[in-house]
Amino acid sequence: MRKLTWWTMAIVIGLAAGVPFAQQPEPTNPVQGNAQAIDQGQQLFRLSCASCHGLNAKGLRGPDLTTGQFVRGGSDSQLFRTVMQGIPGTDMPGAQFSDATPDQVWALIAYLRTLSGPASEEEARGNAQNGETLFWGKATCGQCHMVRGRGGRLGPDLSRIGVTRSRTALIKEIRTPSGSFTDGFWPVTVVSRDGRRIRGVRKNEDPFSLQIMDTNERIQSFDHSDLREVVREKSSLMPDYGADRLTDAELDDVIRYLRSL
Amino acid sequence: MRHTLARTAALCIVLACAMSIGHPGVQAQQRQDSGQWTTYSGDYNAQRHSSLTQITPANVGRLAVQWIFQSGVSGRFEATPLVVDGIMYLTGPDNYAWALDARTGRQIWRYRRQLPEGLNICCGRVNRGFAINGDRLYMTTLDAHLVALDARTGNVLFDVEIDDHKKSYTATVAPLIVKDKVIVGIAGAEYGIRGFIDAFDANTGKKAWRFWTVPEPGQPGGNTWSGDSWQRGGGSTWVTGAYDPSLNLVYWGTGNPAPDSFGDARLGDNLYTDAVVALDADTGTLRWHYQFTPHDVHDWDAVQVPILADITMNGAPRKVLMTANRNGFFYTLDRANGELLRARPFVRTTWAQEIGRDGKPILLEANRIGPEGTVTCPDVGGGTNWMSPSFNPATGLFYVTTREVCAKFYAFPQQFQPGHLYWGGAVEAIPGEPGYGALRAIDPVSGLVRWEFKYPRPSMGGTLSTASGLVFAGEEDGNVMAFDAASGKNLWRLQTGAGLRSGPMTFMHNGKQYIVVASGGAVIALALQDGR
Repeated sequence: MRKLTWWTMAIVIGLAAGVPFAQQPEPTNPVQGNAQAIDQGQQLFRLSCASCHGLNAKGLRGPDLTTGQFVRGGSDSQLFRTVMQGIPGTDMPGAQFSDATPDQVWALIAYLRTLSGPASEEEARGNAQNGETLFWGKATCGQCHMVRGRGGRLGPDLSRIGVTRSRTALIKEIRTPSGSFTDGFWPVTVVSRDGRRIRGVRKNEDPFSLQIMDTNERIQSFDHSDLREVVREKSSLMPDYGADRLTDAELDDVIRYLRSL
Repeated sequence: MRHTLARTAALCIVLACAMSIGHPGVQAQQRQDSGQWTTYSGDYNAQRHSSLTQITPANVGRLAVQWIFQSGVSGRFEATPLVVDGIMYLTGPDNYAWALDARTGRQIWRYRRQLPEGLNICCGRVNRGFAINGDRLYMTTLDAHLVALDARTGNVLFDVEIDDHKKSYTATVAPLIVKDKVIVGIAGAEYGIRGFIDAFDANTGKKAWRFWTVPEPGQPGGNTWSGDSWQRGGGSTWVTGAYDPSLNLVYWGTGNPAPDSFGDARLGDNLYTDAVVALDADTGTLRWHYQFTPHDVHDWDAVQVPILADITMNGAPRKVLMTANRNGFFYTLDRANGELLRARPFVRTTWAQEIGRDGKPILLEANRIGPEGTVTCPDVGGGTNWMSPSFNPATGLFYVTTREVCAKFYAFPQQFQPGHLYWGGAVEAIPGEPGYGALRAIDPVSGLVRWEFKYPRPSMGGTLSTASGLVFAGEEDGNVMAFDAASGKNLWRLQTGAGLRSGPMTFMHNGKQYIVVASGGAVIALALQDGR
């Protein structure tokens, strides 16, 4: 057996003692500012990110990426981790589950850096404390939505909504919630053979069966062969929160609260 | 029940010797009738129609799981397994491959290719299966090689480069054996490759011929590309074609031009992208072509399996080629000369009014895309895609998994850079309109849909037809299903727990007919519980 050198001995002892020998520097973007990489990043963004963040990255359902502010951290390594691993509990998938290579993710980040500008003044509107009071009180949001373990189950859990929705998207989804729904929350009315109608949100479906949560928060399972009809609603179970239900100022408060989550 | 693999192996050797005489590829085609499954689509006609009749509409309700092979590999299966003499040969994600005892699902050997880092792969680290010739298996690899394996051991017999993966060439196609040649396609159009179809000597791996799907200036079709755009014009060939021994023609579908959406980078019709090409099997010489989508800007590859059949049209027998195209139209062509006999939409199409008498689509405004975006149907996934259709000569119906989805397409200028995605556009889903899927039975004479079975979600599962009058199909929510081929009535189903992305196949072993599907990372074999 070969003798251990002093150097390897030192490493063994160091590891055993839990001594970090060298602080690994946080990786930085190897293609920062590289014109070709930025071009490639733009192409990747358009194909993979624009559906949620918008073609101009100003935010659709997903947040605005042009403000220079990133909730999960804005350093190169933090952005790399967010893009690669996604954000659990949100719609943000991880590039590691696609065919994306690390080089492509760095190119994407190089492109995002070219978009960064000042935070929107719109973001600063409203009062989060008032918004929280409205959420659980007058606006009755909490009857269907849960925040950190409190509230209803029929609508999506909003505990992390501030990470995943832009202010613009939230305004649209509160004022006119119908149109587009998150998976697991498509509104349906099930009509049984004897004409009974059960309203709820679709949890899953295949050609033969349907699983819903009804408006009493009960999970129910049906075979299509036992049903007369499944009505796929265009209108959300959530009412439109027009100015009669929520003034512009109150809406600003609620959104400020949601953006703080 | 006694069963020895030694007996099976001995039979393999005998058959391997027999197959070394004459044209093994032709034998491979004929052997489908003996209950084997020897090529990607079942036989050279690519009908994915089996003569086996043990499982019938009357007894399919008693179909039960015989075994499940859990591959332990992440990613999805897009392969059709082959079965020869009781051994199943299967390829999986990341160029894993296996030989299994087809009776029990137990592994005989496993192969895994060491792949280089940094491969440019647009659409999944998948593989669509082996080709077999005697005791040799052939597979293509993600780093664009053709590998021949010993069927009994999985040992590598030869390993040749199809083209350079550093130029973004990659391969996922199941090869096709024709006589003494292995025919393969290529992928990589999303990275601006120049596509081709290659033939290699089955014994030595030496290149026999290459057909470029994008011709250079001065060659026929070369004037359908502006400037030097042909050099990176796309035209991948990533799904296995068909072969007609009587005409000695290989039929193969070609993919989208590159860049996918920014058509101004490549003015012209962009031959031979989004087409079917008929090639002389011995030389690779082009005999005819038919282009489904000239100057495509929607990524509507025409790689769908072309099905060959002899049918009667207007009272006359016709040798036809049928295909349900990603662009939403179903086509019936004369396969001797490429003449268009019928074209009709099988899903909602908004880009073309119809296919004109000259064989070219009469375009609508929704075909034009630019930076402002245009909503077009079908979506980028197409009216159908690479999932295998099937054809039953008795019902005369073509069975295909269809997708009813629209999308908003954008085009933006983009400079080509080697190794970088070359799309020149974007695609957005329509909010609140996720679309749906359906299994449809199309009459190739009229082009009309005779029956359909709807799926809640657009699906990418293939179909299988059997002579007993059944159609098997898989869908995205995990069901494998059997239907009455004439009426479309659902007769049996099994929830497998993961979306089905590959084509079902069937084989006979020890008097028992099996149906095989891949679901997630597993392969499932089904049969009648009592074998009758």
